[in-house]
Amino acid sequence: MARSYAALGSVTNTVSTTLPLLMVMGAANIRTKIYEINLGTSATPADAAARYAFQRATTAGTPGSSVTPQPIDAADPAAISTVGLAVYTSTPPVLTANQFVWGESVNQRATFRWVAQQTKELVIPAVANNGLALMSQALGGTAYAIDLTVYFEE
Amino acid sequence: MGLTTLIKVPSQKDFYDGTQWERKPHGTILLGDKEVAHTLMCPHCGNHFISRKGSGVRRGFCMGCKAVTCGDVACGPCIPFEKRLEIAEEIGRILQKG
Repeated sequence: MARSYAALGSVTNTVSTTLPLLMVMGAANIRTKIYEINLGTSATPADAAARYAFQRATTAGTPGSSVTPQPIDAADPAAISTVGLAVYTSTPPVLTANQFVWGESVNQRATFRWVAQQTKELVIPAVANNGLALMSQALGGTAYAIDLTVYFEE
Repeated sequence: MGLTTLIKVPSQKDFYDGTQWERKPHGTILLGDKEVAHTLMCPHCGNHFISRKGSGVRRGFCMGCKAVTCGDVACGPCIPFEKRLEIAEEIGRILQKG
C-alpha cells in the first residue's frame, strides 16, 4: 500500500515564471502522487487574488530550504521523494514549458483546499530528476506569506 | 493550453461561481468547509481542470477512455496517461543507462 506524507511550509507568493514556491521531486524508483493541496495565509486578511499552478520540472534546482516530508503513519519510513521550498536564489529548476497539471485562483481571505479522488492524483513519473513545481502565476496587490501543505503518496 | 484560467467578472460571486457540478468528480475544491467546485482529470495528460458553463473553452471526449479530455491539441489522439507515464519512464531508464 502506498505511504502518505505531508510537506508544509510558509513562503512569500512573489510572482515568477522561473522560481517556484515549492517543489516536489520524485525518484527513479517510485511514482510520487500529490493528492491534496492546502493553501492559506496567516497574514492580515485582505482581498488579494492569486493564481497558483503546478508545472512539470526536470531538475530540482537549489531551493532556499529543504522540507522533510512527514509520514502520516509514524511507522512509515522517511519519504523517498524530496521537497524544496523557495526562495531559489542560485539555480532555478528547469521547468517544462506549458506542462501545467493543476492550476487554481485563490482569494487571500479563504483557505483553499483541493483533494483528488483516488487514482486521479497529480503523478510524477518514476524518472530521476522529475518533479512538480508550484508556481505563483498572478497576484493582485503586494506579495504576502502563504502557508501551504502538500500531501503526497509514494 | 493545459491550464484553465478562472477570471472573475463583477457579476460573479466568487471564482467558482457557475462552475460545473460533476457527477463523478476527480478532484474537489473546498473553501473552509464548503465544497465549491469540482475538477476533472484529462485521461491523456493528467491535467486537472474546472468546467465552467459559457467559458468558451472547448473540451474533447475520448471514446477509448470514455472520459472528457482537457481539449489540448496534444490530447487529441488516445494515448492514456498511464501509457505516457510508461513512455517517460522508459526514456528515463534509457537515458540513465547512457
